[in-house]
Amino acid sequence: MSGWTSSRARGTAGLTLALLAVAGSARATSQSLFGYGPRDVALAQADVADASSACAAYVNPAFAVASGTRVAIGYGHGWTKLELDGMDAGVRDIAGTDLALQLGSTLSEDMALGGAVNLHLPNRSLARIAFSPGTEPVFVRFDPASQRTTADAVVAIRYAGLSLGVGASLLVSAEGQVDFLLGQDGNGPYADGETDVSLPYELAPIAGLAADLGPAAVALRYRGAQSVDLDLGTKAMVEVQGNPLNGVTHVAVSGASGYVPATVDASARWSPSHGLRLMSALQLARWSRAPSPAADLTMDVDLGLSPGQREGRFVRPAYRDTLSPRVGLEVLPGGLTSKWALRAGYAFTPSPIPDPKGFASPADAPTHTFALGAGLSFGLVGGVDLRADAAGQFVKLQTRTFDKGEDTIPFARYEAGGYVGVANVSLEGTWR
Amino acid sequence: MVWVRLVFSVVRRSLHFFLACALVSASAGLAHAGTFELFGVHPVGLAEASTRTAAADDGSACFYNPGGLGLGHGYQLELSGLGMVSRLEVQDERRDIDDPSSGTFTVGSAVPLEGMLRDRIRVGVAVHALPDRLMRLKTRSQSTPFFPYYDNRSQRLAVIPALALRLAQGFGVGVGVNALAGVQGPLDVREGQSRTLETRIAQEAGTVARWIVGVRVDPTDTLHLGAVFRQSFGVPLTVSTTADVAGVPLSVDVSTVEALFDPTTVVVGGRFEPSDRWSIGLDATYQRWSSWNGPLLQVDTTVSALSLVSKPPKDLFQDVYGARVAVAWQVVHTADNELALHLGAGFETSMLDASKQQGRSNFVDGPKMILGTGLSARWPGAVGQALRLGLGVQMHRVARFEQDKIACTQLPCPATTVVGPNTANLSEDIDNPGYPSLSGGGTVFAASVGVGVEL
Repeated sequence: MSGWTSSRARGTAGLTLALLAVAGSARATSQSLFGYGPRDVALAQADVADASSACAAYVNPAFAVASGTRVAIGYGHGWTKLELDGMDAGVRDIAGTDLALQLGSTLSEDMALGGAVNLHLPNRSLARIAFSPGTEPVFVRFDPASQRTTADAVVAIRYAGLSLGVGASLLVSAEGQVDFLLGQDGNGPYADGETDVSLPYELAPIAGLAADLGPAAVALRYRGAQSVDLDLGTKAMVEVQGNPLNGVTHVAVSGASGYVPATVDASARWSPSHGLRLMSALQLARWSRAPSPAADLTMDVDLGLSPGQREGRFVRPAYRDTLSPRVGLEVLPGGLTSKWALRAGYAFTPSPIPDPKGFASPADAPTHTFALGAGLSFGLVGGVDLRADAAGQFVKLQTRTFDKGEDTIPFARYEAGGYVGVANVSLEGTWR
Repeated sequence: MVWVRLVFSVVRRSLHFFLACALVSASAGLAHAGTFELFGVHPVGLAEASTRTAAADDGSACFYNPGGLGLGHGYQLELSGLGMVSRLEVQDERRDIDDPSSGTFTVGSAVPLEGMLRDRIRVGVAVHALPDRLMRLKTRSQSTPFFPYYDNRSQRLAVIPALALRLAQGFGVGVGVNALAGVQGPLDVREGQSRTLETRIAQEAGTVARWIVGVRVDPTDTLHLGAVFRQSFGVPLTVSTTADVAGVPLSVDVSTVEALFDPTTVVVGGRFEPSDRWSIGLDATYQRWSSWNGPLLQVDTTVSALSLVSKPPKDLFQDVYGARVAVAWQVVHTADNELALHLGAGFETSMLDASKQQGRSNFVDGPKMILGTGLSARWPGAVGQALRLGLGVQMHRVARFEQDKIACTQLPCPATTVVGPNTANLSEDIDNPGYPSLSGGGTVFAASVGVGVEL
C-alpha cells in the first residue's frame, strides 16, 4: 500500500501537467521539419536567402522589410507513416493552419522598416505535452514537438542592400503546486484538493541577416532552442484515523517536453536570369544540448511505509549536432512578371541520435526530403493583390537498425524507418 | 514629424490584420474575459462602470458589443494599465487579489476593401495580459473561505478578436471569439523495465470556442441601442491517472468542468446624447451563474477496495441581475482640446444564494454596488487624427455576507452541516474555518490609466 499514497501524489503531477496545457501556448516548430508556408515547403527550406516576405518571421526575419502589407492564411498536412520494427509507430499526423502577417515601409531610397508575425495552429490540439517512459522507443524529432502552437514575431531594418531582422518566439514554461488531502472527520473519509499553477512567459531569440548583391544574395539565420520546461510539485496528505499510510508525500516532476534545438542557417541565392532562382542552405542544429526526453520524478516520503522506488531519472542523452544541406530552385516561366512560379527542392537531414546504450531507446533516422510546388498570382481582386501557392513534400527516413549490444536490457534491438507525405497550400493578399 | 507620420502610416495600414494575429493568439492561449467582466475595458470603461454596450465603437467593442465595432470609423489603438486593490475580508482576515496589475491593448480597424465592401467591414481585438505570466490557475480546498466572484478570474491572458459588419447606416452586427483550451488525457506511473519509476503523460489541450455576438442600432444620431450575448465558458479539465507500484493498482480521476469560469451574459443598453456635450447611458445585465458547477476540484479515486469521491457543493449559485448607468460630460470642447468627465454607477445581485446553507464550503459573496469616475482628454491632430489620454477608477462595494454554520449531530451528516473529528461527539472540536459563523464583505478598488491614438 505504500505505493498507493505516493502514486496518488504522482497522480497529482498529472493534473498539474494538464493545467499547464490549458494555456496551450507551448512553443516548438512543426515547420522545423517541413518549412513554413508553401514556398518554404516547396524549396525544402533552402530559401533562407530568398524568403517570402509574409513568412519572414520564420524563414528569415531580415526579409520582413518589404514595402506593403501582406496577410496569408494556409493549411498544411503531413501524413506520417513512421515505423518501428515494421509496425506503425503511432506518430500522429502533423497538420495545422498557418497565419502570417507582414508589414513594411520604405523610409528612403536606402532604408526600410518592417515587421512580421507567423503563427501555426495545430489541428488536433493547441498543445500536446507528452512524456513517454524512458525505456520506450520514441521518435524524438517528430513527437510531440510538431503538435504545438507556434508564434514568431520579428522586426527588421534594411540599409542599402543589407537587411537585419530580430525577434522572438513566445513560449511558456510551467511551474506550480498541487495539493491533495485524503482526510477523515466524524462523517468518514473525504477527498479534497487545491492547485496553484502558473505559466510564466519565456522567449526564444530569432535573428536573420541578408545581403542583396543583385543577381545573388547571401543570408544567415539563427533560432534559439525551444522546449516546454516543467517544474511542478505536488503534496499528498493522508490523515485517516488508524491508517498506516498517514503522512505527507512530496513529489516533484520536471522535464523538457518537445525539445527543438537551436539552429544556424547559412544560405545563398543566385539568379542567373529573371526567370530562374537557385537556392541553397546549410543548417547546423545543436542537438548536443538536448535534455532527456523523459520526465524526472522524485519523491520525498514521510509515511508509515516507504515505497521501493523514490526516484525516476534518465541521464541527458548524448545527441550529436547535425549539418543539413538543402537546395532549391524557382522558375518564373514569363520572367519577373510571370503569374506562375514553379518550385522544387531537396534536403538531407542526418540523424542526431547516436547508437543508443543503456535503457533509453530513442528512434530516428537520416531523412531525404523531396519537394515540389507552384504559385499563381491572380492580380488585384477587390483592391487586394491575391496569390495562391501549393506545395508537396515526401520525407523518407532511411531504415535504421539500433542494436544496444546487450540482450538483457529493454528494447535491445529495434528498427526505425518510414516516411511522411506533406501537402501545404496558402492564400496571400497584399496591400501595397 | 515625417518619421512620426511614416510610422503611423505603417501602423494604420497594419491594423486590420490584427484579427489574424489575435485569432491565433486566442487559440494558443486562454482567451478569457475575466478582467473585462469584472471591471471593464480601459479608463473610460472603469469610469462609466462598464455602461458601454451602446457606446463602444473602438477596439473595446470587441468585448462590450462587437456590433458597435461595425459602426466605428478609422483606426484606433489604445493601451492602458490596470491596478486592483482589495479590501475584502472574510472572517476578519483580508483577502487580496492575486496578480493585481495588468495591461490592456485594443485595436479597432477598418478593412480596406473596394467595391461593395468598402467601409463595410471592421475588425478589432481586445487583449488583457499579465506582466510576467500567461496565466495563473488556482483552485482552493473546499473549506477555504474566499470570494469566488473575484478569486482567480483576472489572472490570465484574455484575447478577443472580433469581426463586425455595417449592414446599413446605423446598423451594425459583430461577432467575437473566445477560444479556450480544454484538457484531457491519461497519466500512467509505474515501475518500468529500467526498474525505476517511469512516467507516461499525454495531455492534450483541445480547442473550446465561445462566442460574443452583438448588434448595434442607431435609430437617430442621438440615440444608440445595443445588445450583446456572451456565451459562458470555462476550462474543462479531465485527467485519468492509473498506476501500478509494488503491485498496488491505482486509479485517480481529477476533473473540473468549468475552471476560470465566466457565465452566460446578456446585456442590453442604450445611449442618449441630448447635446454634443452630454450623453447618458443605461445597461441592464443578466448573468447565468446558476449553471456553474463551482470552483472546486472533483476528485475520484479507487485503490484496492477503498473508493473516495470528493463532494463539491452544488446549487449554491444563482443568476445575477444588474443595472448600470453612466453620464459623460464634455467639460472642454474646442477645436484643439477636448476634456470629458465620466461618471458611472451600478448594482448587481449576488451570485451566491445566501439562503442555501453551506456545509464544508465557505464561499462568500454579496450584492454589489459599483461606482466609477474618470477623465478622458482628446487632442485632435496631435498624433495622427487624435491623441487620447484617460484616467478611470472604479469601486465595488460588496455587501456583507453572513451565515451561521450548522453542526452535524447525527450520522450520516447532511451536506449542509459541518462535523468534527470525533464520531462519538460529532459537533465537538469542529475546525472548519467558517464555524460557527461565516461572514465577509468589503470593497475592491480598480484604477486604470491609458493612452490611445486615432489614425
